[in-house]
Amino acid sequence: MEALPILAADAVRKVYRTGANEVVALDDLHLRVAEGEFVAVMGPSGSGKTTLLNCLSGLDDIDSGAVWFDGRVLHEMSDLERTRQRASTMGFVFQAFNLIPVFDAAENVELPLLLAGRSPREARRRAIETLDRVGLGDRTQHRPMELSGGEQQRVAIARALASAPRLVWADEPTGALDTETAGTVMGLLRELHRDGLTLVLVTHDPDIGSSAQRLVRMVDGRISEDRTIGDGDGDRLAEERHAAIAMAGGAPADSAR
Amino acid sequence: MSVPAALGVVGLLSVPFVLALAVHPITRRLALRYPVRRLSESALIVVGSMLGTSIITGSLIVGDTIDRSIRASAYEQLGPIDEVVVASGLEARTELLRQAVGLDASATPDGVIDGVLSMTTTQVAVIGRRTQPRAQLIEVDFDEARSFGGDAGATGIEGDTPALGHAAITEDLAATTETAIGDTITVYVYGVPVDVEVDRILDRRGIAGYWPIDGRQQSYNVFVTPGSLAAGLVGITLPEAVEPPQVTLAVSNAGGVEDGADRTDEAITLIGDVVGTDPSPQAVKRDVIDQAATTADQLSQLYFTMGMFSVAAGVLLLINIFVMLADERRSQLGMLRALGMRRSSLVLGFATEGWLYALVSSVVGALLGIQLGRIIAWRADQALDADNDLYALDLTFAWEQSTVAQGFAIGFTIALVTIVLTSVRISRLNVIAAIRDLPAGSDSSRRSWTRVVGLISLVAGTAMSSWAVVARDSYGLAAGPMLAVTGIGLLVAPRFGVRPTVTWVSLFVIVWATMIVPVIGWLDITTEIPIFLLQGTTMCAAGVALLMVHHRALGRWLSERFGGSLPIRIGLAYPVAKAFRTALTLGMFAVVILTIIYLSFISLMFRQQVDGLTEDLGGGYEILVNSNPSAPISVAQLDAVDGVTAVAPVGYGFVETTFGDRVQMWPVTGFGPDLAATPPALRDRGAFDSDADAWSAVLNDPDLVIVDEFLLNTGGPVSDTPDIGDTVIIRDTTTGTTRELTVAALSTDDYLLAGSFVGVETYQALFGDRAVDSRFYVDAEDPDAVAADIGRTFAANGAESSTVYALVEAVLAQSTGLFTLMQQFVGVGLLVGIAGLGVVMIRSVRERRRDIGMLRAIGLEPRSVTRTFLFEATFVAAEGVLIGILIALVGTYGLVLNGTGFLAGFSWSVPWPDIIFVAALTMAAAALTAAIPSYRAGLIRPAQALRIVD
Repeated sequence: MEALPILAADAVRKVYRTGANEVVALDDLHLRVAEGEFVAVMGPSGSGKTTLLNCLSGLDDIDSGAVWFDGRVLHEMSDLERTRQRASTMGFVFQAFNLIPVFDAAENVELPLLLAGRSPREARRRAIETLDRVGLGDRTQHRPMELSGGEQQRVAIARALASAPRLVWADEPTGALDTETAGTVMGLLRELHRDGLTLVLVTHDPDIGSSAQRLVRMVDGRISEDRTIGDGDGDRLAEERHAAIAMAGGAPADSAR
Repeated sequence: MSVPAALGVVGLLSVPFVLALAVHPITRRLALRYPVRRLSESALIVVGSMLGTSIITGSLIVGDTIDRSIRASAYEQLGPIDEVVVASGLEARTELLRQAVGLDASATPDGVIDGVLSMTTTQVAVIGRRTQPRAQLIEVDFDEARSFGGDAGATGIEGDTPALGHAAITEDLAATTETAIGDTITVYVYGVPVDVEVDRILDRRGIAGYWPIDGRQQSYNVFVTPGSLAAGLVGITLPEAVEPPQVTLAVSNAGGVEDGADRTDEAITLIGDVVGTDPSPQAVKRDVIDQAATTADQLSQLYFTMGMFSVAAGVLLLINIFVMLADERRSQLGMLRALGMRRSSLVLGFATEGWLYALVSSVVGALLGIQLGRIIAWRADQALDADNDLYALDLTFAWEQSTVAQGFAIGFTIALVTIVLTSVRISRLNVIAAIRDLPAGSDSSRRSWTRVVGLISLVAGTAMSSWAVVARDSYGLAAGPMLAVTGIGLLVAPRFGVRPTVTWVSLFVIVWATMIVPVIGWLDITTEIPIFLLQGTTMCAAGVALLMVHHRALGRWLSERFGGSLPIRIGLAYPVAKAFRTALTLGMFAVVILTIIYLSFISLMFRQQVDGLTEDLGGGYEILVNSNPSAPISVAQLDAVDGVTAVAPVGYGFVETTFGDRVQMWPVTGFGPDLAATPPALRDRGAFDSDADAWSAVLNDPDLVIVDEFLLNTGGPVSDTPDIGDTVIIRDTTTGTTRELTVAALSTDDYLLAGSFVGVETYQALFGDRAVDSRFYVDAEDPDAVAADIGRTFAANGAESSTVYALVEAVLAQSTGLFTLMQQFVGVGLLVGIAGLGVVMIRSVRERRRDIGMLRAIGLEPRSVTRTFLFEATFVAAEGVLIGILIALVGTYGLVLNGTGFLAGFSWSVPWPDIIFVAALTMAAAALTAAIPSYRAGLIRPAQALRIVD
């Protein structure tokens, strides 16, 4: 029996308006994400990946359609309710890490716990545990500026995980990292998925996308492909990547996998 | 500074920037892009920096107003009168008129003098519907008076000479006696009532406005036909010991009402040659003009100094704004440097943008400064409008174009220098770190520079301290040790750590700055008001530095207590992390709050002096009675009043007093054994065992005098105070008698306008037949009732009777009124702090959009975002307010510790209501200013914020 979706999007449409110009970022988008799934959303720049993440997580409004999260229609909630929904059920990992620069690693990870109403003592304990889990138990007192890019992203992942969310959104989590560090971060995400985490990952990198269970490909705001990744997909995605790099005039780098 | 000179300075300083705009396209783009695109922020920057110029211009305009008001008295009230010669007794009239003929001969169009006029005067009491106890009867021929000085309008004399039994009176007298034309008033001449009908009411101008009673500005004059006095006195036997009528020869210099005063020296010589020294001429108009200039300068300096605290806040705001601008554009600037832009071009680009702000804000600020000056003048006029007209001064708002130009030039220069220095500082960025948005870190060259600056500070501070001790310079003594210890701090900080070093250096600076005024007093070094500017700014800087090095610990401590509240935790984290920016904002608030609270302290301590001063100034007496020297009350009459238990008569008059290089008409009191038996308290009795011994010595030694610290000071800060052993020369210009006296003791501040105290013999020798006991120190069982009773009973004698308490209270009310006014003036500086906080918050919201987006994404509610920014703003403002209050507490305690100068004998009291009010007002204003950016922060949509690239 197919698992119940934690997230469902039906006929979602999102249009950006700048003066007289309109750009359709999402068009008739349908998507189901089941609990425990690891979905990679791929596509070229401007295909609507990040808009999908923003709209389906409730960060942004939609023009039409509906998004259900955990059985509730997200965009029928007030902004405050959606905020609370995110605080209690979602985690986020961004390409630019988005850590609070004036907080140390532990304090950054404590944030969602405090938002969820945990006591400062409990938040600190859980934050240190989570940092330990991502391999940064010895860097809890370091500020973002004192950490490497990979370490910062691991802090961001720890922050996303700290409050045990039902679903984690990751927007180009390796986009600002070198290949080796990206590999480490992806390894961590895969491990977390194996432990039961539901993960929606947005990327333009076929190698990163191939880490997922399921691939959703987007073109011009629509889903052009939605399938489970099989054994042969690794090679095909690697070729895609090499072709993309060759078109850009560069040399293929090592795979992140 | 003239208008062309001021504009020339601005023009000269602007040349590089105008050229840069004209010639360098990149500089033009850099300089113009932000001000044009971010108009609201540019407006806030202009508001923040223009207030400095407004404050400077406003304080200079206070000087203009006071100068013009006192000069107006001279020009309007004296009109054509430049000098006077006053002789005593009607018999002197003939001689003086004969001499006048000699002067008149030289009154030619090309001569020094263009007119002489003789008047006979005596002090009278006038009763109309109400009583004016002290007035002046003047006999003068109206036709002669009108032709005096060649400008009939300037004399204030209109119509024919009143007939016998008729009079013309001045508007001041008409107002106080509620008299109209056609009314009959009773004039008490030598105690004899004479009814006259009022024909005319004259303006307070020229001859009509002439005012010789105890230095009052008001003119209570009754003009009658010449000979009236002689006619009235027929059959009257004048009692002994009354002041005979005075004969005044008024002299007008050639050159009109204003320019005539320039020829005073020549005229005095000429008059002296004709009339001799007995009597001798008084340069009345020039004296008033000189006094105007001195008083205006002193008060202007006082306001300027106080205003500089707000200007300092404005400077901190400018630095803050530019550092924030640089932070915001750091990666762009790094990129420009990477692309090959030279550092000097970067400085020029930034400085040119700043030049635009400085220019606009200085122009607007100078114009607003006129309005600020108008408000201050209006409020000062209210503060100076004392009930007792002896202390009153009418202010007329006035400003000079050159003053506004000067304010504009000073404000512009301060802003531009600040901007250029800040631009140089922020252009020293590490290109790679800037592009990658990494912290700048500390490199070895910076450490070397720190060592060099430390060494220079140590050497300069030591040299300055040594020189100051030798040269007895208060500023060097204050700043030298602070500079030297700061230098030591910079040198040892790498070894002992920044936090302990800054802690100890800051504590030293606070303690030294607290002690510096008492130390200067102990060493008997003369200082001026700007020492308080040095004291205040250094204490604020040290206080802020002290807080900043312990800010992280404080933040952690607070976070632990309020750690569950994310708005508090985040609101604390940013100010703690952005130390430099926070320090500047704290400094802005601290420096202004310090000044306001400081003034509150002094004002409160003044107010609390009423009882003590009453006791000190009155000695064993509770009431002070003045009467007309022409019809004085007798001791026996006063003794007979119910409730009077003791009377001490004294003589009271004005003499030409010389101390150092200052010469001025100044009161003198000639006291006898009654006052010496229970005398006023002395501030410094020198070598005498008791105050009574000192008074007794002065009574018995005609070469001794008691003066107060404010001798020959007419307002504003005191300079050149007399000491025991100094020489004071006093001369009566009517008798020509001169005495060279030695200061035997210093009296308590002269709130009763007693002037110099001499023994009765000295007084009699000075004034001759005019030495009359017309003033009385009276003790009574019920002072208030008895004072009122004396006033009523002896109205015909011109009795002005008040309790010493009421007189002291009136002067203190005036002083505290001026303090309040100064507080309000400095309070304008709070607007700088508030505007600064607004700029900081707006920029903070922009700078942290991405952080806000992330926090909103992970579940921080919009209202929590708003609360975060609100908390941050009020927290920083509260810290600044707290520093200002604490430093004011410490500073004023240090000031009264030794009790030197104007705070001698004061006890330390804390003006809690003022402190609470100022703190609450500031916090409310800070919260209000931060409310809009904080609210807008809460509205930021997470998806949009996260999309922002830079």
